[in-house]
Amino acid sequence: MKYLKFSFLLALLVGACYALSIPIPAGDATLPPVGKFFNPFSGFWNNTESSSSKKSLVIDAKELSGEVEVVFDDRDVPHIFADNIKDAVFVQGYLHARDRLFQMDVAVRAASGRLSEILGESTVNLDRIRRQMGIEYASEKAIDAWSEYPNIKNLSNYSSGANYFISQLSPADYPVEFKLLGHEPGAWSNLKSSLFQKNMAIMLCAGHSDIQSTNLLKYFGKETYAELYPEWNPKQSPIIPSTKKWEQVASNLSEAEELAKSLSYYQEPPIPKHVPGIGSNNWAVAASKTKNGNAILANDPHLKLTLPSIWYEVHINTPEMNVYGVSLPGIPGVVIGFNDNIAWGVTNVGHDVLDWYKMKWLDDAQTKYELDGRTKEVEYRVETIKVKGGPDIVDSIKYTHWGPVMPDNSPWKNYQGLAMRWVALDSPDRDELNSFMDLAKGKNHKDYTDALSNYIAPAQNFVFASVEGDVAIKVNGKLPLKSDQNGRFIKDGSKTTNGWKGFIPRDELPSDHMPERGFVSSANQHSTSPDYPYYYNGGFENYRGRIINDLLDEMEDITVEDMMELHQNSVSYKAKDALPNMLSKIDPSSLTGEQKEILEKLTNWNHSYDVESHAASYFDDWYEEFYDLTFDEVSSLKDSMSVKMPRDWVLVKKLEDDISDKFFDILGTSEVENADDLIKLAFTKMTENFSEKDDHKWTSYNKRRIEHIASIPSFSVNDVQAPGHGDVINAYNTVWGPSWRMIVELDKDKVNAYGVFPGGQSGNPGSPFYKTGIDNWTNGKYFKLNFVKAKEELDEVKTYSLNFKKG
Amino acid sequence: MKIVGSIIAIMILGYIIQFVTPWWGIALATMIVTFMLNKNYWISFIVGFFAVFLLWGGFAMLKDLSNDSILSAQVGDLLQGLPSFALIALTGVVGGLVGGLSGLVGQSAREML
Repeated sequence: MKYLKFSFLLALLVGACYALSIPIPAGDATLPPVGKFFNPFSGFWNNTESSSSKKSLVIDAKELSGEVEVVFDDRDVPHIFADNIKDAVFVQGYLHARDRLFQMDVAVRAASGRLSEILGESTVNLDRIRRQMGIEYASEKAIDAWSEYPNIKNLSNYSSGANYFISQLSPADYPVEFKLLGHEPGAWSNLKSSLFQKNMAIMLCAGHSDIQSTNLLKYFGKETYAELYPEWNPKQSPIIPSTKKWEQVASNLSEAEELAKSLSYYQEPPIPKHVPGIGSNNWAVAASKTKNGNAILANDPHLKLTLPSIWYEVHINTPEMNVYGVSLPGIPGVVIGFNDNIAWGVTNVGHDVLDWYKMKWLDDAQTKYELDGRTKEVEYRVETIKVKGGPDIVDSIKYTHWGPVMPDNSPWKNYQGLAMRWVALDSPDRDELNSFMDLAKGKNHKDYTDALSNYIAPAQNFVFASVEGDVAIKVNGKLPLKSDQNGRFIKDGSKTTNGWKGFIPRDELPSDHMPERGFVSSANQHSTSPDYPYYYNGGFENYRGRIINDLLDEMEDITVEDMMELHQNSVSYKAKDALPNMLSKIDPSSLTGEQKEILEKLTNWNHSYDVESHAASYFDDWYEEFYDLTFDEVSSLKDSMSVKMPRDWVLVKKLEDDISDKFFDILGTSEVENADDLIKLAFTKMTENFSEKDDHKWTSYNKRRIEHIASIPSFSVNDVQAPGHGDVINAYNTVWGPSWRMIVELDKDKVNAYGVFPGGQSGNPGSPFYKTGIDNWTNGKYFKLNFVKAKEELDEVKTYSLNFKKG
Repeated sequence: MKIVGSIIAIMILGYIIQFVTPWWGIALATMIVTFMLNKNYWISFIVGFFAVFLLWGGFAMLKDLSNDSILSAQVGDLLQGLPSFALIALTGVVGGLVGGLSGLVGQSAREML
């Protein structure tokens, strides 16, 4: 009996401990093991941090060649003082891992197609696409190519630094997300850094609409297609302005149309009207335009806003460089920043660098294809996707002259059998990692151009300013040299002449140094006016660039505060262009009291997307209704084929040019409507969309949030009360927005810099530095950046330090 | 007095043992102490429960206080909106149940020998 009792109780205890050690399935999600997660020593409680829990430490690492002291300031920004760059990047790797390990892990998993390994069945399609695009394959090739250059040592040291940190972690120290998801951080590697870089390329330069364009060209014919999807906006204010007058540019669509007609319509995927709000602004004003006689540079890259933020602030001081800025956890160096002599910033280049080719298969198994009249065989790469709780998935991906072919099981159904040509898959032909290191060391315009010559992808508009007072900008990267219309539509993959003709020569990339107008700027608009000798297509912004150039043109005696104000500017040129015209069609006498109130607010609106503005919500809704009524000819095709919607400026121009344009007629009505009818109808619809009980203010109509990187809701911030709209300088829209705002005044004696991002240095939701910047960011305020030449100057803001010693 | 001493002993031993064992090391600590205490099942359970409840709940509370509930607010939100104090209590109860059960095992082991 005694034995039985003991055995029973022991079994009960073991059973209970076991039950508390395994994950609990809860619907689609899995809850972490209760005992493991709740115990205060190694569970989530151990991820709580306080400002006083950060203690100064001495760390011995045999990889170092000298001593490194890292001083942390009151926002937990590390200031790395090292004897040489190799030691500095070792410590940068250490700190990225310390503060952003989960983020680094997820980014690399997403890029390489290894999410299912930790998340199971639900992410298999995402993984499949990444494998079929050949991201990891490309990274392997990149590492081989990088190994030829001396800079690989820096990368290896960075990886060692990250691994030094990871190797001394016990499970109790794992970031809380690892505890929630029940998996372990793996070692970092150079390959992972390359994958991180590919992840940026996926985000920034993998846009394509070849299928949709081909469908629409076939359906509408070349004249109507050219009318709906023109390549040049006459109101555009390009990055590199031309002295030539704008002219109507005719595109030669005949050849593309011929191929399109021979193809059947592609069904998927549907393309949302609004291309996600990836964009950015940067500008620099020369000394001649500023009050203090110092050049000022500003940058605000717009990305999906996440927690932790994509950026990590860092200051690196070595005998070769004294650089401050934001880095990407995953790669060494500073991506956007400044030193004692120069500052630089980036915006994305919209050139289309991903194209699709229709293969001419010679056998049913699709292993042989025709190329220039000859038979070529595909090459294979085997991809194995590990799936948590399921069997491995093994795919053989075919590679052709152009690149990978999307197989029959591709989640991108339409692309099955098409070959992809993407610049980011090319093996690097130069020391690309060195670009940011050279920028960090740069002293003048020549150093800046030299540094840029090594940069490959994703192509960026690099803005520049120096303490000499000069400013410059360059559309920089590996950009395909294309014949007219090449890359807009699906091309015949059986002729090499349909490929790119190489790349735009580096010294012929659009650039400008010290233009007469005294400033340079970019906001993802067209790189040049149409007189640029090389053809390029892609997605280009139509409003922000115009506003920035107009405002900077008028400004004189510019101060840092003026630049801060400009970052917050939420005035819409789309509204300015369209609203007066729309308002003129409404007859107030025909309206109800409520409608009159709305009309009045719209009439008095300053076109600014402010937090409290009701008119902003009304205009946005009214415009969208008008847009939908106008382009019903396109949206009604969605059931039978994949389409893309015309750009906003096309509608605004139609409204200005001809109210009887055929697209203003509504399909399926016996009457022939014109723009006036549509605007009235849209107005009524809009007023019905706003019920009296709803809050009509802009941020209630357009809800804004900052999402946790793994979409864990309670680690996200909802309902952010900040102004902005995708069409305006302050481009905050739902989850997209300015991911880092930086303003640098290049004073010879002391460079002054201000910055803020909507997040904090720490990626730990349990840290007081998880959301440090959000309030300032929301309110349009900045932090003065502690940029110094010697560590003693940091004494006032120093909170603790890490001392790395060789040992 | 012996009871209070046992509770303190479990807390001290439980705190030390977790440096080398997974989270369930606390069960070992409790079993050892209740084995030596040798009272009845009720007392063993209560001693085990309270000791671990106090240890786990107490540490959770200390960490939560120094953290200004930054993390517990978010984790609580994840668990149907539990407030921080409930999360601390839950931590204590989970630990307490394991402790209580371990107390029973400790006592039964004593009786068995």
